[in-house]
Amino acid sequence: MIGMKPRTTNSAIPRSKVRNGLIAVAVVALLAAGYGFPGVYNKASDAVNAKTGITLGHISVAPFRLGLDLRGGAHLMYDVDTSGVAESERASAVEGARDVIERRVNAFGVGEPIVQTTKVGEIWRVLVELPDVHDVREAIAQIGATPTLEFREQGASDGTVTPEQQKEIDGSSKQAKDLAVAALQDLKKGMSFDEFYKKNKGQDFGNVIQKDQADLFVWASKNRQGAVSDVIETAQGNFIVQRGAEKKEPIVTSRHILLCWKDAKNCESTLTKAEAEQKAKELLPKLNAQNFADLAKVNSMEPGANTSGGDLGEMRSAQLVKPFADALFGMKNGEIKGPIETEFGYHLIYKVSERQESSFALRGAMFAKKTAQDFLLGGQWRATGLSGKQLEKALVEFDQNVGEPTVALQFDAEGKELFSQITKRNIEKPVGIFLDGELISSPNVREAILDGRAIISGNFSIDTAKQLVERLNAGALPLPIKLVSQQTVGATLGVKSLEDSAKAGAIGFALVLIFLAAFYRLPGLLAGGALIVYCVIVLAIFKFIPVTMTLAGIAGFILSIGMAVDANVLVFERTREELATGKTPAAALEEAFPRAWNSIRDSNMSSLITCAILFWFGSSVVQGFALTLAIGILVSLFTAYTVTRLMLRFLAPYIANKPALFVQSK
Amino acid sequence: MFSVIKTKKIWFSFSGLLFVLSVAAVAIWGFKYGIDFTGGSLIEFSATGTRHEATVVGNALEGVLGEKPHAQQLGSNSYILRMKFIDEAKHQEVLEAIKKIKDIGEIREERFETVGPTVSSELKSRAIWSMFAVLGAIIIYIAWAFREVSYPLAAWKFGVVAVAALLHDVFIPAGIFAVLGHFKGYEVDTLFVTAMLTIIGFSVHDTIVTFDRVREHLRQTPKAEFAGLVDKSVSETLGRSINTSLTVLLVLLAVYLFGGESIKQFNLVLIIGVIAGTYSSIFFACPLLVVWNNLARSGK
Repeated sequence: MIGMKPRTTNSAIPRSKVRNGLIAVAVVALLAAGYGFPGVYNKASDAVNAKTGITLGHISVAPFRLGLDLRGGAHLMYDVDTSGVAESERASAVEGARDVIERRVNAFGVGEPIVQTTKVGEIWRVLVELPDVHDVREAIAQIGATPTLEFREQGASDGTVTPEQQKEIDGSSKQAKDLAVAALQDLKKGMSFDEFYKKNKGQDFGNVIQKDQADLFVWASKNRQGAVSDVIETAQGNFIVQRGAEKKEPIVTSRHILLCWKDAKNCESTLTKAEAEQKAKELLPKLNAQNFADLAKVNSMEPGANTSGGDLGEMRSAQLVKPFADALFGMKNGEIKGPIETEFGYHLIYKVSERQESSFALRGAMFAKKTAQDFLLGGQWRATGLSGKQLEKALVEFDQNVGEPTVALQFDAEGKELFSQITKRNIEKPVGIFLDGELISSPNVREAILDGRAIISGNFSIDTAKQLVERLNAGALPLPIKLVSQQTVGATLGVKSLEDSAKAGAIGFALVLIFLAAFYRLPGLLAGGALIVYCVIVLAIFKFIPVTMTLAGIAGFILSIGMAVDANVLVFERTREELATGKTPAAALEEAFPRAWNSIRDSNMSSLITCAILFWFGSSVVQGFALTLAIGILVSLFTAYTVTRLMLRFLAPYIANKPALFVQSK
Repeated sequence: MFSVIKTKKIWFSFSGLLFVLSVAAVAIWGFKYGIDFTGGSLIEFSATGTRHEATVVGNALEGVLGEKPHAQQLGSNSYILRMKFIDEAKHQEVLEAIKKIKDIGEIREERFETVGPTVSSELKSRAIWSMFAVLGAIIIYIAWAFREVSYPLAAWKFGVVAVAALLHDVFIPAGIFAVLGHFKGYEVDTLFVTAMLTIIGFSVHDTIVTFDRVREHLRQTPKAEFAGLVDKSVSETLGRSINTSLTVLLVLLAVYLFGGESIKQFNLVLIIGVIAGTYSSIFFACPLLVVWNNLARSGK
């Protein structure tokens, strides 16, 4: 070979090659160190700059990627219900759900959230990782929330609820029941009713009659004063009540004919008071039980009397104006009397019948549920078919005149068409904008809007407007999701775990160095050097890939430190054996490395196979462990074998006759 | 010279005894499975107020949960609660109930884990499959690595012996965990299975180094007496086996002592497994090779 230096040992390797190799290793190690620990380099660079004025520049500080167990955060696993979607479209539907969740998650503003889909068997999942999240509860609520934006117009509702609304009704019904049952436990454990009343924000329901609250009334009629009920379910909700006194009250069925004069309350007649009284007196003798309703239809000035025939139905005295009530309750059944003067005019009264009605004073707690009424809004608003589904985008805008934040909506093609129809038929009428079933704004339509743009101004603050815009833009989830697994680690616990493992790693590392030097002397020291190179390279690789460092991952790395030494130990044991046969240290080393290689390769291969399988089958925690251990083993093959050999070859000429550096003198 | 082969009866009895005890412990007490295999929830929280007995905390939550959670004290004023699977709404109710415990002070939830039934059964089947996959892959690998060896023992027999050794290494920590699970509540979870699989890798690693020496000697002196050859190989690799295990044990001990609570049990499994693995490759696998060889020859 040209340029070969005279050999000083029996080694066949040229010195220059050894030296270059070592330099290459040193450069790689330094680069890796600079990348892995830029803080140290940057400090050194600053120091050089301060002393000599030479600018060395800085390395950008890329952090290690830490797992949630080390930095704190939440890992949420959702099952996606794909039963309603054709099999061929499931993958894309799940991706759609993932996108919506990601947009919602991004709105929290936590650092680097990860949202992934996976499929296990036939189950589709969405995994959500939220590092540094402060309020997991809020995050879960936001991810699961489905904002419903609806446009409604005035008019009677058709009286039906949508399937989603029915689902909500059923859900709230169950929830109300559960709450009530839970509250009842307190009473069963001996809590006084007064205490219970206070705790559950009780209310006084007054005197409850059968007509209004049949279920409560039935219970009360079967129980004594002071008794406390179990959970009573009614159409409005679930009640736990205590019975007060029973009250019996006369209740009267009646009809009347009103003759009013122009100054009386609500009167549209032009008659004078005297004329009205005159008319009443004239009419009275003609009235009897059979013709009363018919004559009321013709003569009564009460609005609606032409159809009702003056029927007042069943009335308690408290429901009527006093002069009317006094007269009516003083009459006999079937009697016709009048005229009676009230603020409304002169009344001719026919008492049809009277009966006694019981009522019970009840007080207690109500656990309300949603009913169809809550959605139908008393028939005032009617669905139009325009909702958040036809929304293209929403944004926050400021009202030019008052500077108040508003939410601007832009509809897609379908929405544009619907919106123009709605505005056309509702000119000069209000359109109701409902968010999650609540009316947030009902602007009057001034003219038909054809460009598909709408503005909601609903007393927003900047924050609430922003939140609404984010939720609207995120859209509704295309598929239902269910939280099936959750892992949350507080930030303090994470920091403590990280500190603990760093400390454990440093101690373990130091112990290994001491052990190597004590047992294998000079080669042991060199192996220690190789181990430092090893650590620096592995950490740089972790950062580069990047490998997410978890507790299990760090354990894998620390374990790999121990195993990295194994290749060295194998070689050194070989060297001792070769020395025992009388070879020089250099010759023994040259012999030992290749002979130990088979063992090193085969034995590490089995660990690598295990890592591969762990990675294939494992959950994310296990994968982290397998990956760090595998990277560690691969790098250790390089450092323990190649790097240590380079160092030993470099030193060979100086230690040729000093076997004591290798083995304890016997 | 010390001979493992001549003293093999001692080692076989010792290994056999440990093996039988381990199997018995598993059979009698079984394992205490963690929530990732059974489904359920875990809450870890620290408090600032009076330190309570774990049972006080557990009893206080019976009303909300409808069952008593398994409560444990942890460190100075922290508690771990294990309970059935709960959803987020229930989770919040439980936290409220904890806050209401008398004199508990301010509480901070350090960790919350919940695993639903589908997820847990999935994790369980994955763990079982990965066990089989590792075992199968290792037998195939060893048979392949020792494919050139055919005399006096076929290559696959090396593989089977290595697997017998690793079963030994897996059963002993499993038995110890059955005991610890029964008396101290140690749990078998995903991390435990991971540790077991790592032990398998390590145990085989160790066994291969020794077998490799046997292979080398067989190549050099094919006519030598097999038992003597194995003995020689063992004593030659003894130093290496012990030193490698020592370095691994040093780091594992460091992590066990200083590495924090959450991976302590994981480390303990590894420590037990590494000790068992080193022991078995020297005192169990090699004598077994010789016994099998003798049987094969006397059978002819």
